[in-house]
Amino acid sequence: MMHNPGSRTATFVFAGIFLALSIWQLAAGHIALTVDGLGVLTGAGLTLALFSFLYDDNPLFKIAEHLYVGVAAAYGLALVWFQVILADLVNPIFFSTATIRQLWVLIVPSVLGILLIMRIVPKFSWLSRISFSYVVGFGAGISIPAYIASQLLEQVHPTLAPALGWDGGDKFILIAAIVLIAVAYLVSRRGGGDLGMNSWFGPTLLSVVFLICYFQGVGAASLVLVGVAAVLFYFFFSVEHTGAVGAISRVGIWFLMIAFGASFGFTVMARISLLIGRMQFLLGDWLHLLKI
Amino acid sequence: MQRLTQFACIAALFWTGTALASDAVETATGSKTPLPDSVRALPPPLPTQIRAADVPSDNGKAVVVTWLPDASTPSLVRYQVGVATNPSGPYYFGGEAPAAGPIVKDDPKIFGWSPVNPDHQFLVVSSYMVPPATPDGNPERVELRPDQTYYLRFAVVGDSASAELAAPMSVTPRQNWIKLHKLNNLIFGLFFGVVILSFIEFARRNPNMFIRKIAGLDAVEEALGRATEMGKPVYFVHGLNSMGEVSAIASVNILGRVARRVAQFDTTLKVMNNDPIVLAVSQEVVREACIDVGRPDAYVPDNVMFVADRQFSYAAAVDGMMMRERPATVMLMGYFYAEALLFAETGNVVGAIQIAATDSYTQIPFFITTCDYTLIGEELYAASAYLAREPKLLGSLRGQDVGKAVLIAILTIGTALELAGIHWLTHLVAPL
Repeated sequence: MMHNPGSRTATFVFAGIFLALSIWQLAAGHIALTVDGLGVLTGAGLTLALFSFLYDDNPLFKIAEHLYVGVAAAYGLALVWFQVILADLVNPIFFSTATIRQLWVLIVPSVLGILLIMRIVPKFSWLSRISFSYVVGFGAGISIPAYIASQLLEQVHPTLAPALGWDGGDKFILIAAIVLIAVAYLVSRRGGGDLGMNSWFGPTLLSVVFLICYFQGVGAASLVLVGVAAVLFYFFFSVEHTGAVGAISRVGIWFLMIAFGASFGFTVMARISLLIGRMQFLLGDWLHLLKI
Repeated sequence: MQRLTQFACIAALFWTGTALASDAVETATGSKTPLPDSVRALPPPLPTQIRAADVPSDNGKAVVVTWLPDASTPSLVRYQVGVATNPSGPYYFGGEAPAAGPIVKDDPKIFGWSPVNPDHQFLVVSSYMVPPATPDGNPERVELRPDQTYYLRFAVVGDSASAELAAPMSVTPRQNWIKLHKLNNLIFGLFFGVVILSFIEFARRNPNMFIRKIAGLDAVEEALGRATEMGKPVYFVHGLNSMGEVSAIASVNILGRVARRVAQFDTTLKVMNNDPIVLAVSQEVVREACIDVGRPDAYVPDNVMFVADRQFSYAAAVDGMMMRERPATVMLMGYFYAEALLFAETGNVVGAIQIAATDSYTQIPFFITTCDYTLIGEELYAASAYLAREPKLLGSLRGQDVGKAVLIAILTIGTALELAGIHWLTHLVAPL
């Protein structure tokens, strides 16, 4: 079972730590041998077993992993049985006064579900395709109008919305910025580069323009507009990314990477808070070293 | 509960046909500073041009009341509407709006972008509260029904006095077949549909349509070759999406191409699933891919497996398998959540070449930092077209590019028009 020394070490170290500290907590009377106390010990043991994976794969981790998968499957089955099959199918059909006409809405999906299970019978597995085609077709039919609303209109209109509140001064600054960008592009082209990255002049002037716009209050709107357009250019697949398209798409990559960086930091913070939660459990509920 | 009690009190007052008394008003405005006694006694002025109408483009379960507020109306008053199914009553509480409530031009969904009376106030009434039959009961909310004529009484409620429109208004809510405010949705849907279908037809006639290189996809051959040379399996890990989502469909398309190459190379492919329908489709796709390349024996049903349907048990199980089998190549395709980094980090630890593709915005950064190649967002969809070279996918991709060009044009022209004070394009793309 334990093929490598790392696996053996991880098993003994983590099991030893868990047993020693748990016995100490029980002996000190911090944890009682009640259902709650056993719950804390089980939680701490499984947490340590899963953390042991950080050192190496080992039998403790395998136990926790298999337990996790098994419990999840059993929980899922119980959930589906009580909340879907019993509540939405068996009870309404057999223990209610609903008419046949009202029950059609239950019978048709049930038949489709049974056809889906036909996959396990090779002779009738083709019947499951009826259900698959329904699922995929229904999914597409529902999602296409919703996509247009949520992924298109909900994105395009807010991109334009900041421009709705611009006054005369803002408009002047934006037009000036557009003219400056055009000048930057033309000058850098004459210098042999492009608006993008081969010339220092274009990016520098672009940055100055953005800074001016930002401090003058139209930065958000113009930045969003340029960012959206540049990122859309990056996602052109039927055009070679060279020349002006290449330069704009590289600006798009900058925008994407800045956004991903921000998202990365934000998500890491969330993960750290999860780790803090686990540490609070281990040091507080289990070891009673933290007073929360 | 306090709100319901308040509704019940107001509804009871409507029912008795009396003017709204001070008790109910004090319940609602008790925390406000009281007006001087000389002013308290005066009823607030009734607004003018009070009208009731059916709400357009709806399911026939709402009506709207509009009015022009009097300039001298105190700011603490509320406008209330009582609803009855008979002109003689009883009238039940249908809703109320504050003095500084919404005005007509704030709601283009009901009144359009160029309403006749943009500065009128309005109140949408979709139900009314029937007071409880017993003192300890709860008031019942009754929804308006299509094609039923309702009678509305309009009142202005001040701090201690109120005024009421003498004659009730009648209105009949009607069901409408089309939500006109969603017409732009239909226009864009049809436009993009026509564009994509046209390009599919075009792609059928020109199968060598150009698609730019996608770096991660060029690495697929290399990654599969590496697995073959090392004699180790290729892991294809699906995201947590169901078959109805675009990313799942794209992943399955890519799986088909990967399965073909793997069968040709005689390498082991293991496909991890957490959704039973994606599992069934994946089994079908891998089986057909093996048959297509003349290697039906390469298909091992157990290698396309359902692992677990819970997020972190799925992650724990796949990570465990990765550590034990140490695959040479890991492909993470689909929509991922917090388990993304767990997969990618473990793949990195076992030294696998990792190619990830996801349209999950929050997980892309994790794949970028831990995988060898990452397909960002729509590149996942493009990948299936790039690999399959099927006219449908190629045409769709070209059509989507045209769609993006149209969007860039709308954004640029829309901003320019806004600068010039012209709003029709902004209104066209407004999600109502």
